[in-house]
Parts: sequence; C-alpha cells; structure tokens
Amino acid sequence: MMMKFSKVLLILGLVASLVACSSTTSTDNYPNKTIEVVAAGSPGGGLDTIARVVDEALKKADLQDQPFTIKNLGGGGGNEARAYIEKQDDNPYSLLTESNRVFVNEIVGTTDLGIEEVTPIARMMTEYLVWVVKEDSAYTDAKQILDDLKEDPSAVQFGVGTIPSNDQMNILRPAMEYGVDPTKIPVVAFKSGGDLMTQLLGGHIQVISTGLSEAIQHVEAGNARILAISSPEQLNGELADIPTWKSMGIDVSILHWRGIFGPPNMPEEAVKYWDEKLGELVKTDTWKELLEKHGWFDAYADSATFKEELEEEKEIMANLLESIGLAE
Amino acid sequence: MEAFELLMQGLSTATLPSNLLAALIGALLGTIVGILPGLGPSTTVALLIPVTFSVSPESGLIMMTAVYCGAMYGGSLTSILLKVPGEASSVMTAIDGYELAKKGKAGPALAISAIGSFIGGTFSVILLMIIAIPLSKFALKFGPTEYMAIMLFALILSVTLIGNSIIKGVLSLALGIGVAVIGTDLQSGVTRNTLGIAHLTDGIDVIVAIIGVFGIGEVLHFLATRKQGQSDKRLSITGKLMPSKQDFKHTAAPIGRGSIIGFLSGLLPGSGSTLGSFIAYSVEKRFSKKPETFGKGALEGVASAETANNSATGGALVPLLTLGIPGSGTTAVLLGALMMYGIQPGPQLMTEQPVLVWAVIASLYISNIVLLILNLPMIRFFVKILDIPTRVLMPLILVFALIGAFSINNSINDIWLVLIFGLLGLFMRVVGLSPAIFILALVLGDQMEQSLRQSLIISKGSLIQFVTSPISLTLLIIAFGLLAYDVIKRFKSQSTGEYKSIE
Repeated sequence: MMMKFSKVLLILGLVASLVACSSTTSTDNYPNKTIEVVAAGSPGGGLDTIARVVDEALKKADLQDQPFTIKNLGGGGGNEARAYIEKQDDNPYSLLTESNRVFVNEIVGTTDLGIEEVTPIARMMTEYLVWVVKEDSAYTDAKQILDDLKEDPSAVQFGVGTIPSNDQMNILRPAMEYGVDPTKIPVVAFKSGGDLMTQLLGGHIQVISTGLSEAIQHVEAGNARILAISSPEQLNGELADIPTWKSMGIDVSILHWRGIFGPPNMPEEAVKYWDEKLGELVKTDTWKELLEKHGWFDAYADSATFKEELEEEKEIMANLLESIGLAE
Repeated sequence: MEAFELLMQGLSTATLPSNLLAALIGALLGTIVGILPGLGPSTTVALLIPVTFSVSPESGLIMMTAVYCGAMYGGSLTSILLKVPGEASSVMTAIDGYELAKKGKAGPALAISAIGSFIGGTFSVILLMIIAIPLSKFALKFGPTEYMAIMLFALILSVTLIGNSIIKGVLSLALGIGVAVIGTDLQSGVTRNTLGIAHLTDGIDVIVAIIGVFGIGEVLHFLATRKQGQSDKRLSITGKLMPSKQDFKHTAAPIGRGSIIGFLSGLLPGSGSTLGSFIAYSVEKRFSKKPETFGKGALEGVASAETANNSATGGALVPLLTLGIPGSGTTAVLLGALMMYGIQPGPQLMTEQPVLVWAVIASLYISNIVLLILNLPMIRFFVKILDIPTRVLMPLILVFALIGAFSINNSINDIWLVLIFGLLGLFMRVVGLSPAIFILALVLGDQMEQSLRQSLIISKGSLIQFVTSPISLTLLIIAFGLLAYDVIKRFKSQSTGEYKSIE
C-alpha cells in the first residue's frame, strides 16, 4: 500500500514538473525550440520566399539559433493558413507570413478572420507597383492617361494580375485622387504576371499595373516603359527618374508589403523579442544584400507601427472596395 | 550557325561527369516522385529546389530539368498501369494506356510512351534551337480573343472523344464547366458557388479532381462491381514487353504529328501541354482508319498524347527564354529557381547568360536520353506492379491518391474533396459519362470563360474581334467546319443505320 502511494506521489511529482516546464517554455528563454513559420502560399512563391529569406538572414547575421521550419499552407486564398494560426492561440512558436490579404479577405467576405485574429509582428519589406506601357505606346506620361480618363473613364484599358489586389489599387486610387470615377475604368485580370506581360507586349492591352520587379527586365530590354511608381519617394540609382504619384501632385503611395504575424494571443514578451531581433536584423548588411538580391525595398515597421498602419490601410481599402461594389 | 555552336558548348557543359550525375539523380528522383499521383512536375520541381542548392548553378538547373522530365515520365507510368494520371496533361494517356494494360499489353504501352516522349522532347529541343526567336513573336499574337478561339477549337475537336451518346458527352462537358466556375471569379474578385466554404475560395485544384475522378473513382467502381474471387485477380502480361514492328509502324505517324502539335501548344502560356495532348489525341482519332479502337486500347492514342505533352516542354521554354515569360506552371518554377541563384531571367537571359541557358537546353536533351536508357530496361520491373493482387493494389492506390491530394496544399480539406470527386467518378462510370471530357471541360472551361470576358471588356462588349483577328477567324472556321462535317456524317450514318444507338 505504502509502495503504491509513493509511486503515485512520484508520478504526480513528475507530472507537476512537466506541467511547470511546459508553462514556462512559452515565455522564459524564448525561443528555445524550432519555430514553425506558416507560409500562406506554395514553395517558391512570395510568402514562402520571405519566410526562407528571414530565416537565412537571421542565421547569417548570427542573431538567433532556433531554425524555422516552413509549413506551406496555400489553400483557400490564404484563409486556411489564417484558420491554422488562429487555433494556435498564444503559442509563440507558430508564425505566419502574409500580405495585405490579412485584411482584404475579410473585407471581401471570404473569411471572418481579420487583423484582430493575428498579432502583427513586423512588416519586413515591400515591392512597389508601376504603370507600364509598351515601348511604342503613344503615352509618355501617366498624366496624359489620367487626362484621357477624365474625359472618358473607359478610354484606356488596364491589365492587372488579380482582383482585388494592390495592382488594382494602383489604378483606382490615383484615378480617384485625380477626379476620375473609379467604378467606370475597365480593368482586366490576367491570372499571372507572365500572362499580363505577354498581353502588354503583344499589344492586347494598353497599360498594365504590376510589380516593379516584373517590369524592370522588359524595360531594360527596351520593350516597355514605366510611367509611374507607387513608392512614397523617388527611388535611387537608375530608377531615380521614374515619377512617383506624389511627384505628379497625386497624394497616393502604395506599399506592396509582406510581413510576419503571430497567433492572436501571442505573449507580449515574444512580440518584444521579435521587435528587438528583427529591428537589429534589418540594420545589418546581410539583410540589405538580400533585399537587393530579391529586388525588394526596405519598409521595416515594428509591431506597434505595423499594427497602426494596418488599421489605416484597411480603412482605405475597405472604402474603395465598397465604392466599386466588392466589399460586403 | 551560332545556335549550333552554343548548343555544342552547352552539351559539353552538360556532359561533365558531375552534371551527368546530376541529370541521372534528377531523372530518377523525378520518376519516383512523379509516380505519386498529385505530385505532378511542378510540385516535384518545387519540392526539390532545396536539394539543388547544395550544388553549382549549372548542376542545380540541370538536375531540375531532369526532375521535370522524370516527373512527366513517372506520371505516364501511373496513368498506364493504374489509370491514375498525375496531372491534366496525362489524362489522355490513361484512357488507352490502361485499356492496353488490361489486355496484357502494358509493356508495349510503356515502351511507346517512353519512345514517344523521347522523340517529342528531342524534336522540341531542336525546334527551340532553330526558331526560338521568330516563334516568340507568334506567342505574343495570342490575346484573349485568340485564346478564346483556340479553346473553342480544342473543345469542338474533342467532340470526337464523345462516344455514341451525344447527350452523355454534353452532360460530362456541363459537369466539368460547372466545377470550373467554383471559386473566386478572376474578373470581379467575387467568390461564386462556394456554398460559403472557405476552402473553395481558390476554386478546385484540377489535380484534386483528376485524382478523385480517376484514381479513387476507379477503386470505388472496382469495389462496387467486384464479384466473388475477383479480389485475387491480377492483370497478367501477355505477349512481349517490347512493341512489335507492326506497333512501331502504326505509331510512327501519331508520334510525328504529336511532336508538332505539342510544340505549338507549348508555345502558348497557360495549359499548353494539356491542350497539346487533347488536341493530338483528337486529331489521331480523326485520322485513324479505326477510330472505334480509340478508348479501347489504341497504341496510337498513347503515342500521340505522350509525345505531345513532352514536346510541349520545349515549346513552353520559348517564351521563357526569349521573352522572360513563363509559359507553364513548371517553367514558372524554373524561373523562380533561376532567380534564387541571382540570375535575372528576362528578354536578355539568352544573350547575357548564354552558357547557362544552352546548358539547360542541352540538359533537357540529355535528360530525355537518360530517361530512355533508364526506363526501357526498367519496364520489366514497372509492370510487376500489375502482379500485385487487386485486393492489395486497390488500397494502395487509395493511399497514394489521398497522400497526393493532401500534398498539394498540406490541407486535410483536399482529402474530403478528393473523396467527393471519387464518388462523382463512381457515378460517372455507372451511368456512362466520360471522365476525360469532364477534366477537359474543367481545364478549358475556366480559361474559356476568362478569355471571353477579358476579350469583351477590352472590346467594350463587341464580338467583332473574333472575326477581325486572322488567328481567331482561321481557328473558328476550321472548328465549325469540323463540327458541320461531324453533324452531317452522324446524320448520314444514322439514316443508313450504321450506329446502333444514338441517344
């Protein structure tokens, strides 16, 4: 009897110590095991790449030694990854890489999960969007196009990758700012960046709005010209002469960013940890080299700034999508 | 000829022992992974990208092209032996290939498919070398209007796939289009017909539908119709493993036509290889003196479809290498891989990185040879799969099919979906609908709708562009000419009582 009792005690003691361990792992010595990063897209895609690049950079810069394991959950337009992260609740060992779909999907009503159901950790980088015309186009200036649209909003047809998207915002927002009715502009979606470029170079569509990195090679080859860029300020180097919307007196800038998020109830200590580590990472040369290699631009925002700007962006997007009848 | 010199230089790069080894490993890995349904070429290449990072850029890219070719071949293996196509472009291979396997002729079917793949692949590499630049201009001529026309052309051409019952053919077609319109509408961004299920936001992956309707549908149909003692039955091999002289004679022309059709379809961005295999198969059926053998084990059908989907590979590289535009899912992955090596693919790729580009082209060629050498002797082992008693084989197919479905997005929801499509496949078999037409409609239906609407937005609602575009006009005239011909022929044969039942 005594034997049994002591055994029970021993077991209870073991269980208690295990429970104690597990309750401390989440905050003390964070991170002390492998971190799972959910990429809401397939291997090789943008959201997968950013996860791998951050992992690579952290390792190269010697900032942290817990490796990332990347889990590709591309289903349901990112909604599947969202549902997964929401279930992680306060587990700081599950992170997510996402774009502005983090609020767009809720606006258009494909999911109930919005920015409340994630913890913004950092905006890591951005791409910029450009208006591109074919080399032999009559247009030499984005304003000529906007003027034509002002007269007749259906005078020029635009091509984009998908709808709704930042590609599309990069048409509607400047047009609206310029006084054109955005609901009347014909915007055609062509699934992928490759198709889009074929359509432009083949002369089937007049103007496309797409990522700078997709367009630049065709500009360098002398097949296409860039008329405007969505960056807040003029770029450096060879790209310095591309006019921004702001330089044309149109108060629009669009970041096509990718960021890192945690589950909804991520402990504050863990968020703070990433603010420190990622804040340090983006200052390193390693990171700057990686940005350049991938054709990305620095747009780092820590957790607090990121959260604030997400709210603002969400509101602008919601209003616009509502005005063109895409929001619920 | 400058291209020839560069190719020779490429060949010497590609035949360095380390690169040959990379090609060999890639071809083997590709074949093995490609056998798993759901892991088509694009997924296989994507999965193996990390592996290729441990070697030099040349070896890495060579390995990737080898993986790609291997996966294409692996897909044809499961199509023929198990009737489980790994992706849309091998659906047509499954139809006659599996019928041949049932007749004990799996050996010749596999051999012809390997030989056809080799010839198609070689042909497209040669064309790529000679006329890549002028052809790239041709690909640019295809706007939404021309796309719409070619889809319609393919669809009308494939009417020949419909058996004696027009109603059943049209029903299969409608079912495919019905599934195609599930998901987010590209033009408006609005989700349609998803029943509020978040997983369907992106629509239904064609591969999920294929694995379900073919793989699982076949298993369910077997279970539903099996008789006592049949569980131990196995498909035995009768006759020779290699094709006879007669077989070669019959398949020579289909392989030739398949090469040309495949290459031309591959030029078009989008689902070029699927389109190519469907068109090549339909054309063969029309040219054949015995069209009634198609679908019941015609070696010509396997030859044309397999040749075409491999020839499309070279075609798809044309827009990638000359314009920097990926023509297919797999070339998109290759493009991504190039970028990871810090190589900017684009219009100048061929002039700025000629050594690398030609090494890739040469390695494509070498991969084809490696695969042929690797696979012809291995046919005797592959056909052993058929020696497995059905009561073991059927659960195995089921397991592979479920793994394949899961691996697309690591999503449990795709497993449910694939099972639902399995039930649909069973239903289609029971009532006699055509799974192949269903898949064709699913693939083309989506693109057709989008192309039509893109064309209409650009034309502001007018339809005149379908007649004013020379490419569109030509395609439509041929398509409707064929349709009229078919209708007249059918009425004639009906009145002479040649067909027994026309519903």
